[in-house]
Amino acid sequence: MSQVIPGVGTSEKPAAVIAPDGQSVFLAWRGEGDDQRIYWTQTQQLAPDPSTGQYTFSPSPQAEAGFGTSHGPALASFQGCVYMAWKGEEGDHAIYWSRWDGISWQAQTKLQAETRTAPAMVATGDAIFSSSRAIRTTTSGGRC
Amino acid sequence: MLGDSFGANFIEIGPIKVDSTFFQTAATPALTTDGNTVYLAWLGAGTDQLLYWAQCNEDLQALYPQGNIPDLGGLAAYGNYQWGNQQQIPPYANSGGWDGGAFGAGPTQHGPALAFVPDNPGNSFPGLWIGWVAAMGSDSGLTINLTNNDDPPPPWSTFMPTSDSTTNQIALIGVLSAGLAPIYFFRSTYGDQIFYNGAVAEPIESSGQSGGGGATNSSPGPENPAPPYTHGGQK
Repeated sequence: MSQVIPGVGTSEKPAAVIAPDGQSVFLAWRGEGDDQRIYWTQTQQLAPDPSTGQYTFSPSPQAEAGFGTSHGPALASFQGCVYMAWKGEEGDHAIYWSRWDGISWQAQTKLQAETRTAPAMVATGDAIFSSSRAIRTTTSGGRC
Repeated sequence: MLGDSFGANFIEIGPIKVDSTFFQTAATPALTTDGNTVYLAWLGAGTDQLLYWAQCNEDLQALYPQGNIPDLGGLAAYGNYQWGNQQQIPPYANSGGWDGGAFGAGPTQHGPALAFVPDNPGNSFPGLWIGWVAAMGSDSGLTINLTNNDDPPPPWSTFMPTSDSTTNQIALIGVLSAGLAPIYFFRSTYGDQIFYNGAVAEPIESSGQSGGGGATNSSPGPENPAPPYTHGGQK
């Protein structure tokens, strides 16, 4: 049976990624309706409890100050950190991203690429890629 | 571009247009990797409601060797990032329980989701998984469907309709739930709440049926998720 994530919902698609240690899942999403804030939470296990089918979320879903998007964000695990990328708020076509260092999300950084929808991300080796629907589909790459 | 938030060595490369005029989409594309190959899937552009995918043909480790950070004048190296030809996710024959007619990965009005499930003990259905939301207006409108490909390139071998539906793209992670399906997260069809498939069910062995025949169990539902089945290696 499907389970609900308690708290704030979304008007767009949620994002999910397995944490770098492979033991939990990071989730992020845009708020409901006019709420363009980005909310996130983390599960306390990789898969739902087999007896209840439920995840335990900690911290509880919370909005990250200063992060806003008109679409759903994207997540990727890369070199021991979780990265999040998102399109700006309504009217802002820029792509921003930030890194979760285990304690907090770092200040957002603006990329050169622009998009009309949410970006997608994947990380492999020593490169992290984002792909989005811009004027045309583009792929960006970066590396640490 | 150097990004202080990502360390002094972070360099943004691009954006680079995926190098085919056919790689166009009306929605957010999806990306995943098995650690060696990057896979890309996307919804067609305009009125094209089919799904497509491609895999990177490059050895990524060779393409991005440690310590070989190109400057922005070195984009030619990344211009060699080659994608294979786009391939349509193949249609399936009548997929048990739904009205007849071809029903493939699409039609859909949203971008797909991708995840790679590693071939670890306990993972009944490893491989590359794609999830999509059936288009409004079809018998299975807004149903979340899954298919996997345990040895890319095609055939896509396991087709798994779920008992959930959504009005948006879904998020898919490479973790199997109760031996049945990768875990997916989705917005409700009747509100803004976010759900995930935390189904608790008895593991169901793949029936290995061919040609998209009906499922062996009764109709899918929250208490009785549909088992996966094969479609006979259709390409």
